[in-house]
Amino acid sequence: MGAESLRSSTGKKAPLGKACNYALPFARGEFIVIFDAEDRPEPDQLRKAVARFRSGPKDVGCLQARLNFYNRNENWLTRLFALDYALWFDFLLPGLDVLRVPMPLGGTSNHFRTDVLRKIHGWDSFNVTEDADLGIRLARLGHRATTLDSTTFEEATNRTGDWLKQRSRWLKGYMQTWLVHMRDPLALWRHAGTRGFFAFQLFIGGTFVSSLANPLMWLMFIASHALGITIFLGPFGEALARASLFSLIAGNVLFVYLAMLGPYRRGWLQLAPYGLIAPLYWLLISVAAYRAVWQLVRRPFHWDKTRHGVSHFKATAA
Amino acid sequence: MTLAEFSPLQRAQSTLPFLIAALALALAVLLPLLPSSVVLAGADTLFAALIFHGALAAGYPLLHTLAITVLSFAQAGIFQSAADKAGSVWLGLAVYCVASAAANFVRYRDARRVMVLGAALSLAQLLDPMGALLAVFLLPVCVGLPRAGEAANKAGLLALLLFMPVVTAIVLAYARGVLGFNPMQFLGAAHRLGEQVPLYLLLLAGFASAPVLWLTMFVRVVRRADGLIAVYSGLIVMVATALASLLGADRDVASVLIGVGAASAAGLCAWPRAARHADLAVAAMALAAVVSWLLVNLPSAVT
Repeated sequence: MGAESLRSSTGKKAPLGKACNYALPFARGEFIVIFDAEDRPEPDQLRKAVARFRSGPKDVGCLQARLNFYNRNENWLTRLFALDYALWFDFLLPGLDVLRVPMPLGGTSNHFRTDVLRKIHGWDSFNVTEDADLGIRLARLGHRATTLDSTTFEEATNRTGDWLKQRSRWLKGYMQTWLVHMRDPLALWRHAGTRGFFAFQLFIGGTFVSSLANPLMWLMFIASHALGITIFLGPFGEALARASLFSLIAGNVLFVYLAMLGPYRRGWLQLAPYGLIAPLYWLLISVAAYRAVWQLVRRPFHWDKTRHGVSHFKATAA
Repeated sequence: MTLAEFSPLQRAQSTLPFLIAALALALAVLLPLLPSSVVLAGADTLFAALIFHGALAAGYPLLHTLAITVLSFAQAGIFQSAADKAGSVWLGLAVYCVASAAANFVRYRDARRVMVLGAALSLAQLLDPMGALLAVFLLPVCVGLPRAGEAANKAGLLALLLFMPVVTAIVLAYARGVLGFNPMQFLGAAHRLGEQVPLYLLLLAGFASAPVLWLTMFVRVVRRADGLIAVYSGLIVMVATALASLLGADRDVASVLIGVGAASAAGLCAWPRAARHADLAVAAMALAAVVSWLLVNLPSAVT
């Protein structure tokens, strides 16, 4: 099998979609796959993907493999990151798959039918989560993305600063994706269907809205319970306060539980207790979300490149 | 495993969480609004539906499933509690939900069953004080049972399983202690004390009324780890009632009969190759019903 290397001249800080679009015309095969340089896919992933494409329905234009980390046990951040990924790729995306609603793709291990990718004109060159956008566009143009039961192990960012940059970019990309597709909400509704429309609001819009709202909710909780400030309750007073308290507690408890449950499928039960500190991780996500809003206004197409190769863990640990 | 790969049996069993969720929702929303007789009728119906569903999902033919459901309710403990004469039907529901959820967890050990077991143990605490005891004594055994090929991290699994019951216990303690609110007041049928009996009669009732549990324990063709968990649930109720009786608490023979009856129904649903043993299951349940009525009348005969 011959390999050919192609160097894109789109610039280091430009979105990845631009580089992918540059390379797309050179692709000759029936299928295309996107991997990051540090990825360690399971050895049979390509065979599985081809077998799925060949045996599955023709409207499946993309297969998304599961992602997780080979350096998950490095520190508290990589552990929480692994919980986050386990919940997303092992539970939520297969759930979206079963519901047949648009699926935001993860950044790597996307297997495509080349003809479908060309038909939908490749990636959005300006979106910094071109993968998430592509998943939605596939659905809007009558194709389907589905999950592939094979894992690619990546290197998790293990420093808070690097993690914040990466997460800010992802959230900025989700904001871009939401804004782009919501330019014409009725068209989105028509193309994606009612279920797809609401799934889009929940999984794309809800992702950054909840991250932005979370610290505000905690601030209001602290203000009303510790300082007795209840001005924001308005005329509903006590009833609203009780309902809000219930939502805050029940919502957090539910998501902590889901975070703990995330690694169950992989048997990584040693990670489960770390789910108890997931609310701290969500506060970090909120910091990244506000940074993303700032960047969306000031530097919308800036690509914060993630540093790799800094982990002490070897990729073979996967 | 994708949804399409589930066998019909697993798919049927996977609907249990939704039934439990429906019960929880009914508890939360409807109970304060309904008269207690309606609540009791609802609880009876739900209990019967759960047993019917469990037996059908286990693979019993329809007629046998109907017979098992009817005979479960024909047992003295469950019959009296369902008619609000003695004991509490909520105890039966709690034991059945926990025993069947624990059995399913031991058998499949997937994430869905982890959630169902946690939810069942939480619900059991809402329904009857025995629910907390079930959580404390059942979980370590569920977690401790070895499973081939499973990476051992018992602490992580225990944390996962304990999470929901512990949160429920904290919320209940807060509701009762700080807010002065007791959700059990809406259950309509508090535990009605049956006849108080000496300890030896209590234990006799427990052991004699459990032919299904004995079969599940000692007959090789129907013995399996998940069935043994159901047996263990019944034993917990029996021993806890005996201990409570020793300590002078108001516990009676009705509690034992209800616990054993509900655990028996859950145990039957965990029999392997159930269709082959359908006649044996019905016969054992019929025997349990007859013995339970004899035992109910035993205290007055002795005294």
